[in-house]
Amino acid sequence: MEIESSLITTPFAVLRQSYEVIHQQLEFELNSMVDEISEIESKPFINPIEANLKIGQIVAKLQGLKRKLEQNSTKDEEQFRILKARVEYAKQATTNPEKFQQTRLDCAVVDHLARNTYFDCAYEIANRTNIKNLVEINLYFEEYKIIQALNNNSCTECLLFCETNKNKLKEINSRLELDLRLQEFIELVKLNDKNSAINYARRNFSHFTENKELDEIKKAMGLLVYSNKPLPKRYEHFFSQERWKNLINLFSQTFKQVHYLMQESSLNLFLGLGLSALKTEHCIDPSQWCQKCPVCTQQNKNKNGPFIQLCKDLPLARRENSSIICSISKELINDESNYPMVLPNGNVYGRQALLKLSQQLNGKIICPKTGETFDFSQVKKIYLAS
Amino acid sequence: KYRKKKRFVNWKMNNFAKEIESVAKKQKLTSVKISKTIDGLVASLQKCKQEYTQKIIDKEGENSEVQQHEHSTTVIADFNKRVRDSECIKKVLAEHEDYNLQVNKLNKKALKISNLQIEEFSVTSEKPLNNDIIYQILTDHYYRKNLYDIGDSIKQKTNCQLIENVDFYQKYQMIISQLQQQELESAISWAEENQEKLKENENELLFKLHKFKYLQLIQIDTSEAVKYAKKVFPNFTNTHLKDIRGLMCCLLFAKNFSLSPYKNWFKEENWIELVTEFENCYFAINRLPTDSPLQNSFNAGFIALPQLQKVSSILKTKATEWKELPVQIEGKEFKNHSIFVCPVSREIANIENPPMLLQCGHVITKNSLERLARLAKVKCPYCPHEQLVTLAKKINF
Repeated sequence: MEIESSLITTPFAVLRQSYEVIHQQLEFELNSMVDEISEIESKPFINPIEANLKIGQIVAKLQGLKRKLEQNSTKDEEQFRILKARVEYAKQATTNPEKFQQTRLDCAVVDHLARNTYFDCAYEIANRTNIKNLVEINLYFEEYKIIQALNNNSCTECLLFCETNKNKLKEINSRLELDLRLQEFIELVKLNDKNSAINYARRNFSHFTENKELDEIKKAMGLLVYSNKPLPKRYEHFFSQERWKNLINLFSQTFKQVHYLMQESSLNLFLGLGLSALKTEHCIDPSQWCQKCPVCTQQNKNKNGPFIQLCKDLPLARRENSSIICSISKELINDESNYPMVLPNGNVYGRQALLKLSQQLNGKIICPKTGETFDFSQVKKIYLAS
Repeated sequence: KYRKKKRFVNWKMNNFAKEIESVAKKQKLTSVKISKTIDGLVASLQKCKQEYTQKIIDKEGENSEVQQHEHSTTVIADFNKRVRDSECIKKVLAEHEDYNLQVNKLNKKALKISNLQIEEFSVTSEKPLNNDIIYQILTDHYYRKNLYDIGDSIKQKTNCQLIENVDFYQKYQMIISQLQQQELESAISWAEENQEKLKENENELLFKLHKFKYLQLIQIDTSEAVKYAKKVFPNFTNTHLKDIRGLMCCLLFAKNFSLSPYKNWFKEENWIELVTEFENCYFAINRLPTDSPLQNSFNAGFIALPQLQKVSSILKTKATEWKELPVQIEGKEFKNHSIFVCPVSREIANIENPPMLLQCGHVITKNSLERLARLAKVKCPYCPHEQLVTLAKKINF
């Protein structure tokens, strides 16, 4: 299938998040309404004014719930529209392949720019090329905001992300929440605020039950022992800034997993693969420059072209069969009508080009590379046995 | 077989689209139902409030407090009982969960249709491609497509260098659009400016352009044509004498070309060929391909991936450790360079190991030749012909 892995799956991640939020609110609000009404019922001598007030509050809450529901519903409708648009686009792969390929590249470009935080550029291109429904720039922006917060040593936003997606994180056995909680605990210990640290630990470490998690928590708790004394070697890593970097990487990875996004941009992946498949040992040699080969772009004696620079670390294409291009006609030499023929000077050309030449020159051939003249009868068929 | 696959894919997509539609409808329905339920609850509660308000007004009246309270509590109790009996809250939550179940089903379907096993074949996952060069390539790509504002925007935001200036592409657009209207002036002046470089590539473009112009002029005014010929053709007498002779003879057929032996020169389709040739030359001068290299390399990735996925079961190393792709990728897009693979040793021929022609017409690389040689003689691996090693000739493609 030509559908990229995230095209029709990412909207479901958004739908799932919105469902979980609203379902929780529905349950909470409706049940608390029943509780409050029962409370009023249980007080037969209640002041009517007070009762009126309370009922008024309940009504306001219900109306607020309805508003939230409607907002949510609009967002969900949007996701379904996006899904439908993407299926239409996917169908284009068979109905209009050339346009599909161009759109596919535009989507990859926008995705790549968004991943590298060039959001304005990405929005501009998406609007210009009409692919707004096919890309999710705002998701990358959300990720960026949370990473900014982590860069400023704040875990709050990231914890909110964990809260919103807790079911999915549990499904994939993510340790993101554990790491975030540990980090906040460590930051409190750094400030030497032992009481807050202990309170924090009491509140937040209690729901971790796995053995691996408990081991980590135990190790971190050991930090409490060392207040003004210097840390022993084996505890030093707790206070290093590296932990923040690792947190950011873990978050970025998890964010993409949760939203069914690929870990690297599709532009990177497919361009890398494509260049690899096109890369030959000949491409580096400027004297073997070929106009049709994208890798050879701008390859000359003084400077390497951009594509060669890009693929210098990539694997080479594997060749098991010969493929020869006739240097006159630029056509592929094959075994049927355009078989290879050799001139007495050792240069090989395709039969069709040689036939054409000999027709123009009355049975003579002039070798394009050396200028020597031969008779067509001197030209022999050769076998490449590919 | 390809058409069958196409139809199957389209059928799958259409089915999926229908299912999306039905779940979307369910979403709207669920939302409406829940809204209505909440509205009902709010309305009932408002009624309770009204009753209380009435009681407050009646407070000034005759009823004692005790009676009032008893009366009011029945209203609330009534409401509570109704809510419990109708189980409307349970129904609302169940409806919502039902909708979610459908969404999950659809999600699973989407996962099945999508190509998920991609990242294990990535050759760039540990070492991503150099972004600076990528931005250069992106800008260049959009310039080629005439979307200069996008190209400029990328260049500005990412601060990247350019592969070619915008003028290169703008000039190209201008000349091509004129050529398509059969106007040759700008093409000719470009060719004259770049004649040196064109000659390096043994190019006939300039002469061809002059030829077309001359043939155009003949059809309008033969004396103009002769003047033009006198001006431009003398430079080409060494290389294109035969053509020039024919072109001058065309004057005799000025009234009726279809009768002349040169009628092929006046075909409309020649213009299309000319445009293609001009395109190729214009880009070749700067060692650029005619079509966007980004688009072609990107497409190549999508051709290569399924071929790699097919052999995934026999892969021994991780993609990031490959020095060479594990399979040959089939497709005419990958046959751009002349590559000779020795049928005996599977080595690729190069300057040190060139292809050698045996007397029987078969070709093997020099290393294979030396390996197969016995004393001074060698037997062709494909036919029974034996010959002296020294009689094998190096060939060039």
